[in-house]
Amino acid sequence: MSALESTPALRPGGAFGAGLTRLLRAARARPTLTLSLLLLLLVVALAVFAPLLPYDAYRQNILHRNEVPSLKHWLGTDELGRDMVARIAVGARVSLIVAITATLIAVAIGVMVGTLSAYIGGVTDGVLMRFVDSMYAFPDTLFAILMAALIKGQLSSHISGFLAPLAEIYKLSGGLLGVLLTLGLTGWLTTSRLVRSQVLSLKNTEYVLACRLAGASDWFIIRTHLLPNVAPVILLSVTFIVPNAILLEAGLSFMGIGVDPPTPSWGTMIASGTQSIQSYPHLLIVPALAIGSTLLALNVIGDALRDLLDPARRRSGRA
Amino acid sequence: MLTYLSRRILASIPTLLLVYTMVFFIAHVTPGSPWDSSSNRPIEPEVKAVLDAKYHLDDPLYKQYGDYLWGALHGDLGPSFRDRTQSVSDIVDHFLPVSLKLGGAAMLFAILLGLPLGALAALTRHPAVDGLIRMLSTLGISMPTYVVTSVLIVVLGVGLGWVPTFGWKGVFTASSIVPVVSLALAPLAAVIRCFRTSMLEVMHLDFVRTARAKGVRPIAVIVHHMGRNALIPAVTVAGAYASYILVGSFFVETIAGIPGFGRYFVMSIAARDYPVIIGTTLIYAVFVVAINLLVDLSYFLLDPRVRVG
Repeated sequence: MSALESTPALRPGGAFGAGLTRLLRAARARPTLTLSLLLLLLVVALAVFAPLLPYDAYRQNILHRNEVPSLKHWLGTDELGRDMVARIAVGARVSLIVAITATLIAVAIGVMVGTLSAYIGGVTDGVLMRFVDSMYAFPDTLFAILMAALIKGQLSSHISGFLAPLAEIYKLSGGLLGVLLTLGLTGWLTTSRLVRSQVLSLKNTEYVLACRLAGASDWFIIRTHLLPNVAPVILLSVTFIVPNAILLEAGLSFMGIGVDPPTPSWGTMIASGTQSIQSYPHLLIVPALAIGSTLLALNVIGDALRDLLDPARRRSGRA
Repeated sequence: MLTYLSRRILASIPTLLLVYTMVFFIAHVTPGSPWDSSSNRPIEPEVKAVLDAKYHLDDPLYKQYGDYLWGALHGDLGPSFRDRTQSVSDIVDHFLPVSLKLGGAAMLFAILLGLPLGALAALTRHPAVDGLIRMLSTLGISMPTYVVTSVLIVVLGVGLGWVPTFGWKGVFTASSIVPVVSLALAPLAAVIRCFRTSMLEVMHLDFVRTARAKGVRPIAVIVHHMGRNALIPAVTVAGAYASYILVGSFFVETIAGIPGFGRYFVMSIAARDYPVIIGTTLIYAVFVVAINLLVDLSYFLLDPRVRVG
């Protein structure tokens, strides 16, 4: 078995590391990509160092409400006199947590469903893929809205029994838990399809057949041969899931079924900004530009990564 | 073609049933009855029992499931719990036309502007045009509808005062400019990008050269020979964006204060008005399935090769 275990399969960490190196090399030739990477770095830095900012995101100051940007408050203050830079930074933190956690959940489910579907095949494959097809025929935002409304209704009411600890966590997280569950449970469809097609093509390669002839268990084959080779496809699906998660979180919070106030989210900030669009447009423009530029950066980076992962796409010179 | 059509319609039934089942359980699994949400005072048990009996909430779950489905198939989507003077069907009649006009205008805008621009981009292949299209399509894909709407309202409405910032007076008024443009941006970008690529693909095919050689006017070659063959991918993409416009309407209508279906949906989500949520979601589901079907059918009209195959 030791000979099989040392098969030089692509290691998942290796794939991501190599992707990053190649991305940085590509950035040198493309200024938009460099700019996007810098912007993303800024957002991450804001999120990480949010507590170090001079103003507190929750401290209200009735004397300084709705102030326009100034030297003291770089992006102004909101309708309760809270500093907008601090609120944008905590909002970035929320977006980042959502992006990372929701992606992990979605990728875990997607990889599991995709691998099982392709590897077992037959009726399991048929049922799972029919289900995915049906879900695909329906806008994911609509599903996310329904799911978020359900989870919020369930967990924010006074309940006892086995769900009680979950409701407690939900309240502590300021509604974040509901968003994470929603996005994780709705975001795995693309991943499962991509993984399935990849596993299907790998399943009958010589080395997997040889491995099976040598008496390896299914789990061993999946773990050592299939999963590592699926890594580039997973990375590909991450480039779709991350911006989508941030977009959906803001959308849900905008509708009041995402993150609960007073926790700042870019979505709730936009929603409250629309209330005073005439008199204080900066309350709307600041969070709108924050999420707009973040998503723009993520899409530029995702596009570059997809180019790097798929040489055929690069050569054909996409529009 | 008829067999294909019937097979497609049959295949959409499980999708719709799945959506209905999920939405039904989402609505009924939620604790608390619809009656105690409107006030802080607990409702009398007798009153609650009467209300439950009136709306058949005391029936077993499987019976409610079947009854509602039966009613929905006959056009009765149940009562609204929040606004008890109206049924869901009334609400649909009242609010859907505005959204349909808005969405239809956005789709038309995207297609009517996207096709010529895409063709132009393919024919000139000027680096500046290329760069502009790249920028537009990245912007269109990345910018959430609520950001586009917000920025447009602040710039055009508040800053320049060209358009009203709030409200809806019909498709052919200034009040529709911001909502239509912000809904159309993403599909427009997609149509331009897609049509440009497929035009470039057909550009060098033999039949185009033949048409040119036999002296067909250049504009006729572009429209009839190239355009018609390049149209299918663009139609597919435009169809895929129908559900995008639908979801975008939630945000656009809420921000711009348009009394449409999307805004009502958002309000009923906030109020947990479950019959309205089920009803509207079902209508959205039927709508999405129908659009997908229409896109598939358009292949028959556009491409004779599909009819044979």
